[in-house]
Amino acid sequence: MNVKMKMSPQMRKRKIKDSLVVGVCLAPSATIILVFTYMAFIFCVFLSFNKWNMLSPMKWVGFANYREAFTSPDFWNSLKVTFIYVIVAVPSCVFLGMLIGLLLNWVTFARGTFRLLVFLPVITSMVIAAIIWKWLFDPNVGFINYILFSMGVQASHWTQWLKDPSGGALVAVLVVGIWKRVGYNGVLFLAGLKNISPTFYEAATIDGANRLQKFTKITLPLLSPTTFIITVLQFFSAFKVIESVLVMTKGGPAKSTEVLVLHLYENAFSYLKMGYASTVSVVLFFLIMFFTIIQLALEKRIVHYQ
Amino acid sequence: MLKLENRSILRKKNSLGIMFIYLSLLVLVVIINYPFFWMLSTSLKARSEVFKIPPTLIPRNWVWSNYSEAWALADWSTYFVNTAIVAVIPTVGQMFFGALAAYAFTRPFKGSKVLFLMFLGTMMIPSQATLVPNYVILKNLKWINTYAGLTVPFISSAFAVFMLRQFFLSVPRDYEDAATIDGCGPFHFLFRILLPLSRSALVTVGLFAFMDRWNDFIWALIMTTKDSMRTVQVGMAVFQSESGTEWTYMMAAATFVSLPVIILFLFVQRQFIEGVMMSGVKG
Amino acid sequence: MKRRIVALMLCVALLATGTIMAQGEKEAAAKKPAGPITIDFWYSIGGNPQKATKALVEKFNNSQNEVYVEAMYGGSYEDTTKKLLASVVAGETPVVAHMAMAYTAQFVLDGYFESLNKYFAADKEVTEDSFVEGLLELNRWKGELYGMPFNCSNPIMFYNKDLFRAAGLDPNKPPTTWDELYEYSKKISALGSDIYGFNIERGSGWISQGYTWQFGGEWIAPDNSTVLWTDPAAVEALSFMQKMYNEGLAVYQGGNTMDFSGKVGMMIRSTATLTDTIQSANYEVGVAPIPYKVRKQVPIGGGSLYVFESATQAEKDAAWKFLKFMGNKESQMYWAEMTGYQASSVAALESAEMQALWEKDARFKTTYDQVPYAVVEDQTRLIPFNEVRSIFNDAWDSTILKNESAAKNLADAQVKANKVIDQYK
Repeated sequence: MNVKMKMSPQMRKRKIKDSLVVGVCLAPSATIILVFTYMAFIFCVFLSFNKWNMLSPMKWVGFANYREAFTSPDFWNSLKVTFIYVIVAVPSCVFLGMLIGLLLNWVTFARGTFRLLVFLPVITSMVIAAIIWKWLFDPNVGFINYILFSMGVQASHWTQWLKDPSGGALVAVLVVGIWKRVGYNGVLFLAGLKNISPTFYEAATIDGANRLQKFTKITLPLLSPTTFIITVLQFFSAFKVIESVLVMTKGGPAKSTEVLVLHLYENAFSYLKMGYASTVSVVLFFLIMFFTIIQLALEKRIVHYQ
Repeated sequence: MLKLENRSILRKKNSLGIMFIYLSLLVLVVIINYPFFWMLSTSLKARSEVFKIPPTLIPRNWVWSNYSEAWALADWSTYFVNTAIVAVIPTVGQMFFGALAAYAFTRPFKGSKVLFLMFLGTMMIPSQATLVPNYVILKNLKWINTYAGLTVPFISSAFAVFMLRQFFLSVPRDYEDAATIDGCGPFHFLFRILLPLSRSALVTVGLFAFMDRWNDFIWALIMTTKDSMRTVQVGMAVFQSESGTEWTYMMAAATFVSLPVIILFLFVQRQFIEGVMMSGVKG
Repeated sequence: MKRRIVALMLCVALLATGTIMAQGEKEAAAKKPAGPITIDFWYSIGGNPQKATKALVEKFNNSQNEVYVEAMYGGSYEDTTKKLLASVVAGETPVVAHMAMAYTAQFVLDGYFESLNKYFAADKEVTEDSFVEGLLELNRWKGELYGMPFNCSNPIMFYNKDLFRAAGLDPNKPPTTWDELYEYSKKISALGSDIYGFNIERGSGWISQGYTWQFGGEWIAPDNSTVLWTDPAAVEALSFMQKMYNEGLAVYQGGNTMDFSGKVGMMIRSTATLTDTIQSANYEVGVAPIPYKVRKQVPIGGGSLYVFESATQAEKDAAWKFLKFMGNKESQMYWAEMTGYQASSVAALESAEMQALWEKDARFKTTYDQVPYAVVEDQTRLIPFNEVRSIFNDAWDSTILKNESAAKNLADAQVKANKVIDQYK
């Protein structure tokens, strides 16, 4: 308060100019986000208190959609499937990404080619990729079983892949999700690794540290900011997974791969329950928000900055 | 630095280890790219060879005509022009407007934290849920069937702002202070000093925007009702029908549809890695 | 750097002008057609049928100059429905839409489609008798006719003559009953561990609904008040398939990957896949009517053309001309020949061209042999059809893939489905 009172006209002028700059810079992006995400989302929140099939007029129902969601076994099932997906996909993508980053960091020969080949899944469309994978996973004519069987693997419910409701289908969907993302993480890790100053390693060598020690005492801690960002981004995408599931299994067999966003999508466009679907999306928003806040809170404890 | 480390390994007589690393990378690359290999191979097979058991890796007869026939099945040249427009405008937009917004977020101002969280929040909303509301918004703007409807909603994104902000934060504050003392205004600083420094971060943001838009299906499908406004991903849908999937054509089309993005990546690859390197790490 | 930025700005400006100009051109192009009335037509079928649809629309546009149809591919049935829903919400529907029946009930109920009764009454060139029996019933609701049958089909049985020969079966004597099919499958699957007698259709729903009929059951009560999946016939149909699957006689799979591999003896698919199967399969393809157990009955599938009620009268009249054209003898003959779909026009069916087609390839006739006992799927009268059907499909998946009790799963599914139905009462 005091400071403001004492401000000279010149300083005030600068202050005004400053906020003008901020305003001008933010206006276009903020407008886009406000109109096409938040306006639409606020409409969604409104819809979540209505019954609406998009064809008849909507009807205010209060919390009925929320009650329906929380008492519906299908909703809880899709929540469970989503959690399993996130719990498996996030660590494996981070771990495999780190592995790829480390390998890419070692390589000196044909570096660009390796980078491109690792990155290819990231740049192709998920719809195309999922169509191809669906065929590769076919239990009878697919290439994966062909290889597995010729290696002597016995047929079991797992090798039914997309038709196995007791896990095989979810594994297949996870494989594709991880495959699509791992190159992206690998390149991010590569960049992180390159940012670690070699002096740390030199000092460690002088102190007589072995390779494992160097990895756990230098690489991992110094990589933690990268790991953190990758985990957060991975988390967003894993929670919102849909395209691969939609193409490969449509949530089946027997709902064993029905993730939340697919549950929402089916209810909205196949069952014409837009109100209920909006409810699911609102719940999903707060779920992701909750976990993001936890992650941000953990950031300070886990992440070491160089 | 990298070379130095490798040399020291070499000295430690560990050429076997290096062999092992290359081998594992090779295996990894083969596994990762098998689906693409399969796509290419199918795109060149005769229809009757596609479903052979055991699957053939290399087509027996190379049916190049799959490509010309797939091309003739839809108005691909229009789709490609549309997709280029629909991908390039958001790419340029996200670089430009993303940089502006990110720059604002590097300056302290009231409510900056809340606003930034709101930007991040957009990543938590599933786009499937906002599809119908957005259709209504576009209709009221009279943007259905226009390039505006396909591009303007994407000329800025939270991801771009987030990436660029991370990068800008890593540029020492002294630069701007020094520039200000020299009488350089904020925009001069942004365009003349900050952006040239962040070329690779811009490339990264641009590449992701381009990939995202090039590969988009559902928005382009719902927001257009005229064939002349369609994009390549929507065009791909013609190979699937109740009467089954036309695999050879579909894979041929998948190949030529993915090609531009791959070429683009090849061009910007090095700057892209640098871009990630500089923006991704510093908190 | 400054120069670069200027270049960048220039690029943006250029693109922007380019965009605007391109748009202007496109609008001009759209206005060019001679007819005073342009109507939008969204269709939802890809592949060969898409080519035929485009050709028919072009033919219609060239045949007269009062109406110009602007055809647009809306994606799969699901995707077109999504587009239509969005367009309804925004109040900008096309004039004519091509939809699968499964998605139309709510549209009909809420009055989005124009009843075609008065057009049939006023038009002397075409009557309801011009269409193959049963097909119009697809779209009749409380006496009003809401759609014109366009791509009609029923499922037929495809079989692999090469495998029949190898198993010592007569390739010209396909099974006619499900019990026979079981015996045939035993013989065929004995040929090898990766060879199967039958492919149980998975996921599409309409074919498995048909299995229930053929075992003597009904899928849903005539008044739509309850599904009838606990009926012994419905349970028997599912148990029968479960047994085939468990004994290794059958695979349980949707899509066409397995069909063309030559590893499956018999499969049931829409007649619409006939052309594609003959072209893609690497074995001699035989075609036969679907087997039965208690009664011969097959479902009618496919889609129809609907006119939106919100269109102006002039647009509706134009649409009627288009609908009539799409359903006439020449169009339906062309359609059937190009795609393998069933012709909906009686005149096409009785034409010399059709006889010639059957003469050339008798396999194209099977679907017509089934017409006398082809019945409208029960879906058209049921609003939450998609939701109910997915419950049914889940019960089938659980029973066959997890080897659970058919009776219990169907009973549970029935309770769940009836709960959904009750919400709409």
